[in-house]
Amino acid sequence: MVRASGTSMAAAPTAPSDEQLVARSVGGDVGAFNELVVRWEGPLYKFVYRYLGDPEEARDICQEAFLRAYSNLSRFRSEAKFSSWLYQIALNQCRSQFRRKQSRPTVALDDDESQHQLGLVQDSAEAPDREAMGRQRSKVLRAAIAELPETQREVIILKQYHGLKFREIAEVLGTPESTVKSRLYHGFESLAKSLGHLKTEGLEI
Amino acid sequence: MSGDREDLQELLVELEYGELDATDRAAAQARIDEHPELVRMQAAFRAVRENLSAWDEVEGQPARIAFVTMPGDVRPGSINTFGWMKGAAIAASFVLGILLAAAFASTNLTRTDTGWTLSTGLSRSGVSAPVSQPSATTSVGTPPVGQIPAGQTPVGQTAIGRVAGGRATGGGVTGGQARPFRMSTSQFGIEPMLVEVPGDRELQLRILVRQMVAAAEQRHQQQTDSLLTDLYQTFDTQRTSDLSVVFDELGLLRSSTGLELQRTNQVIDFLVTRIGSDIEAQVPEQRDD
Repeated sequence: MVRASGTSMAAAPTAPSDEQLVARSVGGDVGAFNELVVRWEGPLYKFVYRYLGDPEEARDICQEAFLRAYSNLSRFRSEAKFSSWLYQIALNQCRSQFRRKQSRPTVALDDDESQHQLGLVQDSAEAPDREAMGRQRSKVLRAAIAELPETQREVIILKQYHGLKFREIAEVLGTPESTVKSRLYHGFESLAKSLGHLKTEGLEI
Repeated sequence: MSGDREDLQELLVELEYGELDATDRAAAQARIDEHPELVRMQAAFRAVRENLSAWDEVEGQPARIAFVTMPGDVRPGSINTFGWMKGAAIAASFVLGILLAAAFASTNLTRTDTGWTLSTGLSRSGVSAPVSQPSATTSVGTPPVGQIPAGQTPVGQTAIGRVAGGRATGGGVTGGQARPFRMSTSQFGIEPMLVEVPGDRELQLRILVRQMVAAAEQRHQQQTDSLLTDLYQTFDTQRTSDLSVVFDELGLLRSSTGLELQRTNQVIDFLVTRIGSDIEAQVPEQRDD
């Protein structure tokens, strides 16, 4: 998986590192923090979107995460990576939001068309085009990941889609590396079952 | 194999995600190849991972955001979300106090043919209340603002003036003189604003507009400060003038009362003397009778 774009920017020879920008931000340079925002808003948005599955919520949580990061920048420990810290802030908000949503269940029209609608697509006389099939695959995968326990889902999203090292994920989650690896493996086991079930229904995935 | 199953699982994920160095990777792969079950696990793992890569679509885009500084911004780390509320409450109560003080400072005590009348700034439209019995006609009141001598020094600060000045954040009273009341964003702990910026050009425009608005607010604040300072001075001057006029009027009343009493006494003395002499003049005539 390709590493998050923020890291590739950070690796550019002329660009200052995240930690340098953080130091400048703490010194009162708002522009430095804006550079961090530009660098990390994309990866963070994707992470939150994959976690919650709602673009509006993802935008709100991203903004809130940056605001919290800025207001607590003086508490940031320099031995940790800024990106890990940022993911940690966003993750905490995602968890809260996810639990709020669970406590107030709503019927999302988009979710209704997950697995069952796939059957309808297969039954239709007109074959779906490649783009439509891609969207359906994404929906199925999104639904399968959403069904995972929270701990496994977090690890899979951070590892598979954001390319964080196991050490970094452990830092974000505050758990040992071995736990992270174990959660990832068991999450894959669960996904193998759910995706295999879909395959028997005709989904070519 | 079941004994170190978790170790094998960890090894497998490390191998598949490329977090082993070349030597460890070769050793791990060799170990997996020795066991058909491990080979099957690896294949299943790769299949799931391949499937997961199909979800590359992310709906929507992040909102382009940027922090825009305001005049008097503070450094990050000390945000006080409700600080501005406290400041606004202080400012509102301060302005209310000033308005009330100004209303009562415009009090007029008037002595007319029909009696004493007291009118305040709140009842300036004509409502007045008689307060005593009629007597002579004398006007005691606050001179118009334009008639206050320029540069007149207040004798002492009023109670409201002291309270208002003393509560001004950071400003207030120094050496017995009120300084302009200042409110800046830093005093309320306002942090740089987080704004959405759809594009770089629009970001620059928004920053420019924000700076213009901030500059306008700053000018407005300075004008407000100046007006409030003038109001303090006017209020103190008016009040001092009122008090001195009231004291003078009371002194006049007291002296006029004393004169009238003295004259009355003289009349009584005169009458008593006159009556006494008349009686004495009549007594011999009665003897003669």
